[in-house]
Amino acid sequence: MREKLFNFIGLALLALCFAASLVRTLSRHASTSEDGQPQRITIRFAHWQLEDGPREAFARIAAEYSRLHPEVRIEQLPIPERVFSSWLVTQLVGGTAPDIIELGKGLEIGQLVRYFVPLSDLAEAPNPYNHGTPLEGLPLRETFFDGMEGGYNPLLLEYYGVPISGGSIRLFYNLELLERITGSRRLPRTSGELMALCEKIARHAAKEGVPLVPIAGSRYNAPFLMEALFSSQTQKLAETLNPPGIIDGNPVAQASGYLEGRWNLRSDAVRSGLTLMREVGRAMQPGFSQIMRDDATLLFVQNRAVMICTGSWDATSIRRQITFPLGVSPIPFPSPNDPVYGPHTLGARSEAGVNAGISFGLTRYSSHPEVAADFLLFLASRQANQLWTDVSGWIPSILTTRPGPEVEPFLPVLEGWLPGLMPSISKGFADTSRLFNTSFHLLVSPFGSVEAMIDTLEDDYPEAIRRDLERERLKRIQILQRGDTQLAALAWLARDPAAPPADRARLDLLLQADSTNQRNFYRTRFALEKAGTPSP
Amino acid sequence: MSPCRLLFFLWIGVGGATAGPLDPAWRDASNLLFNQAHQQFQRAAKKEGAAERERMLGHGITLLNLQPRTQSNLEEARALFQRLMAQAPESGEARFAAFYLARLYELYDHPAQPDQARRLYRQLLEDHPGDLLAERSASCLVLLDLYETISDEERTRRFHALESWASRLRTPTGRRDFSLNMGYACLDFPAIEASRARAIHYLLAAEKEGITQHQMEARTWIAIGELARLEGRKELAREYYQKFLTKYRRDNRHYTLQKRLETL
Amino acid sequence: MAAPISPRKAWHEWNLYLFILPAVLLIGLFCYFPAASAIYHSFFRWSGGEEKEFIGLKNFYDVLGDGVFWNSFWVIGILVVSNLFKLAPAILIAVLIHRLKSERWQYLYRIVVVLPMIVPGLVTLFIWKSFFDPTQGALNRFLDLTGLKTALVALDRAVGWGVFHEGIPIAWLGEPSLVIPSLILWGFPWIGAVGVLIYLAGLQSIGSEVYEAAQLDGAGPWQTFFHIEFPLIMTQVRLSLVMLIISTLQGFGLQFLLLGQDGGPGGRGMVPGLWMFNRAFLAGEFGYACALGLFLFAFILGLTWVNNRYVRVEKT
Repeated sequence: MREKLFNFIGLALLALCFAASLVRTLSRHASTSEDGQPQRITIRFAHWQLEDGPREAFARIAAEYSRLHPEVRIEQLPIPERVFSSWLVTQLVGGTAPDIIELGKGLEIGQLVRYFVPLSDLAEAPNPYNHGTPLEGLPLRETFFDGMEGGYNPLLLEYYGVPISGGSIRLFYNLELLERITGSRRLPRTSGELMALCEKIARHAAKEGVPLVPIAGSRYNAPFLMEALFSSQTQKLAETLNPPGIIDGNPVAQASGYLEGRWNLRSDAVRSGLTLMREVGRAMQPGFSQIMRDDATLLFVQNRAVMICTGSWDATSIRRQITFPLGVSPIPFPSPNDPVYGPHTLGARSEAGVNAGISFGLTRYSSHPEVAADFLLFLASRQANQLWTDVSGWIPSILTTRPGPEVEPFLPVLEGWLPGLMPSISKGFADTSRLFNTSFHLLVSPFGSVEAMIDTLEDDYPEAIRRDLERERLKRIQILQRGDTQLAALAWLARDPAAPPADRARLDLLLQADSTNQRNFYRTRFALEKAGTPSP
Repeated sequence: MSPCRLLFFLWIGVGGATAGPLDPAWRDASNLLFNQAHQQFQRAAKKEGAAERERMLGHGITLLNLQPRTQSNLEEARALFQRLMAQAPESGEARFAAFYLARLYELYDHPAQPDQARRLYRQLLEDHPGDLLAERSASCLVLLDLYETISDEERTRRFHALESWASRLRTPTGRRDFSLNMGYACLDFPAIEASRARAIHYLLAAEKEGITQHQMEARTWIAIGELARLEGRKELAREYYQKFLTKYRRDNRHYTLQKRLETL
Repeated sequence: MAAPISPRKAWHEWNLYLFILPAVLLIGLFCYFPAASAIYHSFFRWSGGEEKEFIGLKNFYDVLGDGVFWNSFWVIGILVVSNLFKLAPAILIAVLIHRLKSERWQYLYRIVVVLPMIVPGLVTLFIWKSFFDPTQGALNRFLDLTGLKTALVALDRAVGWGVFHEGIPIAWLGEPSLVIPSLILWGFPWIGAVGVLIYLAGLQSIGSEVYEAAQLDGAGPWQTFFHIEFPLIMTQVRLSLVMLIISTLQGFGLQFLLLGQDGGPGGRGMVPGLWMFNRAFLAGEFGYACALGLFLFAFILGLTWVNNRYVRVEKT
């Protein structure tokens, strides 16, 4: 009897779990609201921002919208970042996607066109929710700090998303530890001061016998700091690689410059950048390149590292875990007067070019597209964006929104120079990046050196760059080919005298975009031919 | 929108047909829904005259990007374009077909057939001045002719040959895109005689026709300012630096140009 | 073995096949369809979206010249060989549990072995990743506390590895020479629950009269193991071997989580599966990754054939 009872326990547990999930699933489709009122409209929106801050902010914004529109219920669906792409595809293909989805992860252009509604009409009209504010009457896109570029798709020439937040990279400091070690809370303003501080911290740790590192590094965090400092050394070099009249860097021109011999890994600027990377790497804990983001954060919040370099999006999470006062500063770049690193640098980098992110798009599956669009407008309003920044602690995207004192240190620094070359030229250069990453240990290991890394990279670098350029050429030709049909169709439609002005405007933009794409394709092809890789 | 551009669009509008039954297919194609558009063109009833030509054109255009892209699809598109050109050489459909046949030769064939593409582009320019796609051929020719691995002398010779087209283009977009390509080619190939001065000339010409895409406008203003500075034309440099700094306040090139302006 | 039935009888009982139809459909949809799709896409230049271009055998030609892919088989080879040795603890534990006289203790030990299965594999991987952490990891702390670190440093000096240094935490996943040893060390003590259960099932099918006969002949515990138990569970061992080879060859989750998408320092941990992932998701070459997958499939098929042909089980 007892045995039979034990045997049924498992079955009973299974039945219980099944019943619970059945109830939960069915209740999601329930038409009554919490207070038993008749059917409310439910608008669901999904995102992957599981860091501390955004979810509460979204909940507040949703509550505020429901207060204004009692017949509407807003439901938030936070989905883990790791599974978001696969979740998104299944939802879209299966026809069960929420009304509003955060754009940017795992979304291919064909899917964007097929499953999302263009918002260009919305972008050109004033936002009614900005009534009574300084933004009243302005077209929606002009109310964003980046002109709503963060939601614009340059291939489709339409706005597909409403971006609600900005982001920046900062150095975070444990001010308590800093004061204890240096006697003051003064933050370094140049890389020279940063390295001097790191040395002081290392000496203190050795003297006191405490496990303390100057900078907490990880596979995720380290590149923010190291790449920024590397590119500070290649600013002047990058300028020389541009054709006259062009001042911003272009990976194809930089890659082509390498293959033409105009720069290489032994160039003074590159060597200087690698040396600076090594110095910074040595200030991080041993083996940092093998550990993940959370481990580095743990090191910092547990008082075992004085500094960590990460994005503004981690600030709220960090603040909620620390028991010490937090200092924040932009990455300290080498001063042009620095005797070692000054000659190659122009100065600190501008952050003006960063577009707004956390962009939300409207799916074609929405049962209530007008309501969903209205919620998007509310999300993009000054009122909601103020709530967003106040509750999440993230940078707002709408002009005239007042960031709180905790957000102010993260606001982009607009004054600054253009960045230089990146160590692997571009993150989109898969083979060059892989080569660099797999040799990285030679740079930062205690027994490694800049020379060892250059010696290892040198032989394979040209071939990797060539392959990446070839991949770039293929990508660009695909863009042109895609554009051919699109252009032909628009040109055909625009022949009609009754064609809407929007079609003609779109055609004009597409003609310009196509010209740019053609020039980019031919430049890439020419660079390859010059480097001895003939076109097929 | 500038008056020139408005007139241009009215002009191409006058030349066009009234809204037709295949418009939804064209609309899908303009939104990159190629397979859906292709199905609609394929299934549309075969008619006579202009309607059938439009169907054939749409069929061919969508075959270029029908997924998966195969050589047989491209050959079918080629055959359709050639048939359109033979059936009604003076029709709008034939002009589209000629242009996209050239594109086939240029961008889709392995190996590419640039000479065939050039021949078709030049034919279009000669035979159909003022047509949107014919004038687009001019900017395509710039890239085909100049971005080849040839000697500097040959490139300069080709550049001068291309310059003769500038005065023959009648549409604002044609002149704009041609000038942009010529101007940027001067930047990419400094061996072209007086490349900087020529670049300024062409970029100013493009700007006069109206560049509405923000990124291209910004880039062109910067290029004009920079080149003017290098050529010692300080007033022009100041003018274009100021234009950029006033309109593009939030741009990571802003500070750099501010500093450049201060040194002038 | 079931006796064959005539086609006429099989057709007459057609409605019985409806019972297996759902399973067949699901297998077709979730197993065979993706495989067929991979074969199809291997002939295309495909970046994972809707656009694809037919390029014939080009991807396959490129695979033949892909140094990274072929080198990754060396890593896999080492891991397969090391995994062979890692079979031993599970067999040993199964034998020890089997030899317990008390059924109650057998049951309890089975539970102890099986219980860790409720921990998701990903969690185990993360735990091991934390073990390998140079500054906070349990492994380095253990080596420091026990003095083994000092021994390793001395050995290093004698042999000249240049890997273990006094005062410098060991970067298990950050030092190229330690990547493969770390991958081998992962999972210690290598007592897989599934393996133990499979071997136990095999051992339990051995009749007691066989043991009695062995005892009468004066066989000791090791002789009993080598001459009776091990030969009689060879079917299960062979099954484990096939599963092990296939999972090691296909697997890349371990390497991805521990070393990242580039295979760690020097690319030392790059295995074929990880290279497929790298090409697909980093380089955007999904068609090429499918071609890589087909080569891997052919390789696994070849090895399975070798295993079936040469790892024979005598049927008595």
